[in-house]
Amino acid sequence: MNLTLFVWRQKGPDDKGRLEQLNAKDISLEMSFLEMLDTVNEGLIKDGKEPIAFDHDCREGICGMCSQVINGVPHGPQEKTTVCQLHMRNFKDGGSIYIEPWRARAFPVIKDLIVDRSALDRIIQAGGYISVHTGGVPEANAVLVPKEDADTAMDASECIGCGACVAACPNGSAMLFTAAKVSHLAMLPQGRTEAARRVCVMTEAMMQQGFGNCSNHYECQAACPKGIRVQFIAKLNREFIKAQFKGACRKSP
Amino acid sequence: MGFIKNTVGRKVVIAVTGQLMVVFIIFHLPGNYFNPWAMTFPAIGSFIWIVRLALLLSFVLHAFFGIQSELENHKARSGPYAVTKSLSTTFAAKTMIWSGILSGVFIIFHLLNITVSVIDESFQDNYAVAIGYAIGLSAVCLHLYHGIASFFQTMGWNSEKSLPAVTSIGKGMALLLFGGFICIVILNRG
Ligand code: HEM
Ligand code: FES
Repeated sequence: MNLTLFVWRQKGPDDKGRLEQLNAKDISLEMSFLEMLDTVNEGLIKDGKEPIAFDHDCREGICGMCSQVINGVPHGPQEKTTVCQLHMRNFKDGGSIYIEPWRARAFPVIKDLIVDRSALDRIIQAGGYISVHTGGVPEANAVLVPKEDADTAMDASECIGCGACVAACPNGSAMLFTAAKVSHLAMLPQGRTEAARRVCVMTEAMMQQGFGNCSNHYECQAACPKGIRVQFIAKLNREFIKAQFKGACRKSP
Repeated sequence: MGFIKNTVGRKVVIAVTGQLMVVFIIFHLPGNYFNPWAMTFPAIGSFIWIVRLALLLSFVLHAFFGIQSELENHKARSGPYAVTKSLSTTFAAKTMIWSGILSGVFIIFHLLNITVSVIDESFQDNYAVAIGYAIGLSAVCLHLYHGIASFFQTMGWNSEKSLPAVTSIGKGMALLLFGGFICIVILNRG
């Protein structure tokens, strides 16, 4: 198949950036979206031009590096699929595809389609961990966890931190990401002890990193390649309100 | 960082104050039909003033934090996409700030018109005023079309199962309230 691409090209953080029109020729339907870009890049290199810079690592949908907004949707048209797992059979021969980086103030563009997502790491650093040493693998029946709680924690832990929720949010908010991390740990006994402090410091960190406020558009849920639900945001809100009764947000970390 | 400086804390303030105003509006509607008390409030001692103060405080806090978070959200974006495609948001959700401001203007006008009687034109006699009411009510309806359901999510009173029902009931309530109030305007035009 042959495609017309409109790709965001930006030399560096200070460059203004623009969409560049490129042709992708002889693309097979079996290629993944990233393999299609690899092919285009080979052509560009042959012509002595600068290849398109894009992020990727695992190429199996688990690392969250492949951050591209394709035709206005983070990770492209297929639901619950990362860019690396998206295949060219989802596109029409002869069509055009717009490829842009995540856009949010907290995610500055480094080059072309690569953005700096370390703001998410700083939200985790603020409190997305447990500080007790749990030792080795515990005996399975020592601390009992209800099956539903384990399942819910597992669902929340599926978040790969790719940042699609931020890219999709009209407010540039990282609430779905933060909520997944808060919920994941709050569901389990090891994480429960620090739950009140955690929800306070992580939401504060989210603001300090320049992310916006959630106003319940639910675009994040629709864009999430791992199917993280907005019910986790409701859970975060509950945790936050509960934390007020413990005065956990008044003390600065 | 305290409650009202936190992103969630502020949202809770916006949600609770917004919902308080919704509760008032719900009482305000049948009162208009059955009995003129809703127009002037029940004059049970100081009760009327407690309600008025609570509503005034709600209005001010709601507008302040609503506008503040909207400004922050605007800053958090880094320019528009060349192509945008909404997957789940609604027109009502995207225009909250504008429907909110229009509602605020309408409420101030309504109070000057009915409660304080500074504006001495009634929608019964003046077409322009009646149209003003229709626009104002539409803005409130649009605001609540997203707002009522959104309140439950903000308070965390939501689950995977209840979300679709809560969303539909919220939208339905907004439309019902609009229908109820617009009938007063239309019926009294004569
Ligand atoms: C000056 C007038 C007003 C302004 C500027 C305003 C602004 C806003 C904004 C920006 C939001 C979205 C906040 C967010 O989700 O982050 C909002 C939500 C809301 N507003 Fe208003 N508003 C106004 C008046 C009203 C009135 C009169 C009512 C009720 C009758 C109301 C009820 C609500 C409700 C229920 C919400 C949803 C809260 C939530 O998302 O949890 N607002 N308002
Ligand atoms: S490259 Fe790892 S998730 Fe796509």
